[in-house]
Amino acid sequence: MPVTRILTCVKFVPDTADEVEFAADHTIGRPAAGSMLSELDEYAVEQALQLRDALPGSTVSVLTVGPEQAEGALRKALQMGADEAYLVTDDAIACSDVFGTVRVLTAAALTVPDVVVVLCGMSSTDGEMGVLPALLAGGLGWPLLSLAATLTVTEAGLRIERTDEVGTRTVEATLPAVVSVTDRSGEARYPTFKDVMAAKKKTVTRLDLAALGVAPAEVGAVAARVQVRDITRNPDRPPGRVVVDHEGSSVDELVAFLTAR
Amino acid sequence: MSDIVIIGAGVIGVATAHALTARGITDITILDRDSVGSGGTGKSAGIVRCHYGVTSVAALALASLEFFENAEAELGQDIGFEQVGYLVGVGPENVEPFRASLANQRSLGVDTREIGHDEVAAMWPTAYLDDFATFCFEPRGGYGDGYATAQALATSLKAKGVTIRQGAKVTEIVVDGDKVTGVRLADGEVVPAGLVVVAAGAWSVPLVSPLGITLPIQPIWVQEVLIDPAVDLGAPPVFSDLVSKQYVHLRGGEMLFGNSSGEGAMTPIDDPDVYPSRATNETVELVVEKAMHRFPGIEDPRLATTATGVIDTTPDNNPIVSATGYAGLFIAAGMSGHGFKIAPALGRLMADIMLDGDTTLPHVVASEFRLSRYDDGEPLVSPFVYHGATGIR
Ligand SMILES: Cc1cc2nc3c(=O)[nH]c(=O)nc-3n(C[C@H](O)[C@H](O)[C@H](O)COP(=O)(O)OP(=O)(O)OC[C@H]3O[C@@H](n4cnc5c(N)ncnc54)[C@H](O)[C@@H]3O)c2cc1C
Repeated sequence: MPVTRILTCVKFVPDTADEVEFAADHTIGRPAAGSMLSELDEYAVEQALQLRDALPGSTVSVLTVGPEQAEGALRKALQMGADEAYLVTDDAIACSDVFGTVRVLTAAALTVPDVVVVLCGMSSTDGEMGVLPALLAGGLGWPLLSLAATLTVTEAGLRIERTDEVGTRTVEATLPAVVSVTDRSGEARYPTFKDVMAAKKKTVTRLDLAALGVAPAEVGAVAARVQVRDITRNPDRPPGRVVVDHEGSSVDELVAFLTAR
Repeated sequence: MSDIVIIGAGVIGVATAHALTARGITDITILDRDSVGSGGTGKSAGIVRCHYGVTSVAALALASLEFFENAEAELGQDIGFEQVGYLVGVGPENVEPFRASLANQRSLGVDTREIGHDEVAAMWPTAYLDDFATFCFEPRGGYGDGYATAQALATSLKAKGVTIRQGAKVTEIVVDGDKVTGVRLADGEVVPAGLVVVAAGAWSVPLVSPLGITLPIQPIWVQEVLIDPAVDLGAPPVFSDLVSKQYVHLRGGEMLFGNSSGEGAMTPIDDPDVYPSRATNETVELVVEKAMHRFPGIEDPRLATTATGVIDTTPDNNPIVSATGYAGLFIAAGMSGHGFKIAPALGRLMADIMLDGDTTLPHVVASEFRLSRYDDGEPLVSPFVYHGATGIR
């Protein structure tokens, strides 16, 4: 059985439970200690691990593009059970727009040998654009199975179910393919102790632009076609209104409040 | 106007108000910038024990036990206290101070006894015990729920006529000369008061610094790891493991691991509001290693999740419960990560100091908690020093 790789793209994002900070250049501050594997990408890792069981001879690799600390996201995926990891890090990549990121990911997916499936989460929890899987499929020239709620192996390739307000569609594609999975695809597993300890010994391969054959001019701020012009924080929510009751006096006030809504 | 304003509706603020009402005083306003139990109280592991080397602190813990045991009847609400017992295991290097401390605790009336490996093996059959020299067991210990306790106290206080204002952030303590006259809120409103208690944890520091009062309180980021044992472990006692330097207890079927030593898991931070909400990979790996060593009998445990919080630590790891140089201004802060289990009695201590300048709590020396003890060179430390553990024993 030839080795096949399931490559899962993951992102190192600020912890959604923490206060978000914006830098002066409108990037989102990424405090090393307060960042994590994007929760939406945990679903992709979970599906990759399940796919590994369904595709004999396959292994799961995780890939991220980011600063050195982004290894933290890869370690979490390795703890969940991924076999190996790739970290693409290069100063020239900083401030890339989604096209720049996709340029790097495309090159990486073609550099890592034997990749037959690229898995992604449905969106990042920080940028929240949700377009990356489609652009990546375009870059690779592979079919896209987007927003999968279920993922199964067929004789010809893969089949997904996509569920939305309209109903459920069943979509199939041949391999190689790009798949994005939603948060309905099944809870990510808890890492076992054995996996946590094993993850310490798994390798994280570092790649830079030169290794991927990507020119610095193709990525980063210089190549960015999308620019964030301004960020305005939502105002704090006003405190709730307290209705004080004096022997039933609050009823009218409550009714008025509810009917006004 | 209220006679008394308490800043902070954590377990310490509400316990202080509770003790004041027990003495017939209800003209009290508690102000919290957020909500009842929203600070350290809501994140507490809630371990309850009397195993302390400092007599006054052991006595506070003992007096608090009575509250925890009777709260449901007294307050008419469940406070989530689970009296599963409290177990301590020490290595050979600590046997001597351990036995001396136990003797002292028993002299105060603490129900604690030394037990052997067999008894512990029956309580925690999954644990590896060979590297412990001896153990003690407190049947009245266990763990509580900080949030539920603070909420239950708050509900009972409201029924007694105490005012609790949430979303009311104090920005200034107002004084007239050397006498406190009230507090100012973020929106400019002044709440007048004859007595003001600062019970705002690490946030107390900037509240009193403009008055020239320096509180030696350092916010420290602490990390906890929750483990899914994937099997039913029953309801074993809270396990304080002074060999691996960790505490473990079962909460809703999950095992909560906290670090009881400085190693990595206690990080000083500048701002008590800014810290990561999840544990680091290094902490997770450390806990997993320690847990695998200690619980080989749990076959396939899994990492469930992690949690973090902030504790307000003083130089001697003991609280500041004190008058100040300003008439009417009092401090109850710096709980150093163990304020939950002593809160009920500590509230009483604060109330006694406010009303009488001293306390009648048995075995508690009020002056030992004074703020000036650091300048006086009289820190509150245990005479029974454990090797390799923090000073909160
Ligand atoms: C992870 C963790 C585990 C712990 N485990 C244990 C344990 O096992 N056993 C134990 O005994 N203790 C434990 N502790 C410690 C214990 O929980 C605390 O000591 C205790 O809850 C502190 O209560 P507090 O009322 O002093 O502080 P807090 O609960 O922090 O209350 C302070 C309140 O002040 C308010 N405040 C702050 N600034 C202002 C302002 N300007 N104006 C108005 N209000 C303000 C805050 O909103 C907050 O509600 C633990 C703590 C943590 C974080």
